[in-house]
Amino acid sequence: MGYIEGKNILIEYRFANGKPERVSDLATDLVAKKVDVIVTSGTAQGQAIQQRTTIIPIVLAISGDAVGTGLVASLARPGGNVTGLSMMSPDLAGKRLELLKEAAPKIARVGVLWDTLVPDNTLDFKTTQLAARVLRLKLLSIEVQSAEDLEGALSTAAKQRLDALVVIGGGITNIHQKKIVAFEIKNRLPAIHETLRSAEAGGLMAYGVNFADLFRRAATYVDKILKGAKPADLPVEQPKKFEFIINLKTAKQIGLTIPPNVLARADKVIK
Amino acid sequence: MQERIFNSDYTERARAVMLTPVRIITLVFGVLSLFLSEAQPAAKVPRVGVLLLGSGKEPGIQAFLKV
Repeated sequence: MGYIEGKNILIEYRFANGKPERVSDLATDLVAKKVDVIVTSGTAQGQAIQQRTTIIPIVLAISGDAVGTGLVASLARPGGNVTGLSMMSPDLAGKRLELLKEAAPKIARVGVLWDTLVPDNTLDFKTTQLAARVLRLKLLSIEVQSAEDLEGALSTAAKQRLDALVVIGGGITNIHQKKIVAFEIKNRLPAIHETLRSAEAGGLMAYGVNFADLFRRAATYVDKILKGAKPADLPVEQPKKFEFIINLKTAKQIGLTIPPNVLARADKVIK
Repeated sequence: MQERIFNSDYTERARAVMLTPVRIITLVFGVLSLFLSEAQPAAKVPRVGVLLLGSGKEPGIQAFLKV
């Protein structure tokens, strides 16, 4: 797009380094800098900034239920100072459980690990619950809100005699994916993640959107806004492409044979 | 005598305000640069804020920065 950082564009970075409690202060700081546009990822971060400014345009590189969480009035006409990309995660939650059941047909008790502080995760969890009823699976909610919670939640989960695990992405589960993946392998749990990187980090499977693609699209929103477009008029885009990744190394480690029909559907197989 | 002094003073004053070629050029360039600075001010470098929960090493933001 022709932007060179430091020459014709300046970028103010604020990273919470995995600490959600730092997001509010960082949002206040960034708004005080009166930047021309703010790029963020995740509904909670979007809300933190929106609570502090209704003037500075906000581009969400990744959001779940942007309408349900009140970030935008509608996907077609956001109406305020927020626009960007939705990963439509609630619609995919059921699909993940379906893929898990096909990969490991004998499962009956499935844990769902999720960060309850991520606003749109509630919708993801409810959709997973609905899919569980259809697939006749017993669902156990494993809730976390902080890195400190995670250790306890995983050790409680280990005692629940789970057959499999669904990991809803966002917040703590994204930041501590390596710890979660290590737990899955140690307990020989077939698992499916929302975040594709989790499968690359050793999770058995992942089904979702490519975050790098979403961020690349977010850059086009920034460009349009800097050229005068109003976020209120820029529709929130929904991804057209979803990726399914299977990690066969992990399958071998936990002693699971993935059926050929499931393998055939994967976009990427890690061997 | 008085008259002569007045005439000499008048001539000095006239010379002081007279538009010499150098003065004309200076005036034209001065007005032109003032006009251009008002009509086309120096391009403002846009500032973008990035707020992420992670550390900034994630592939998403790296992809964003490469675009």
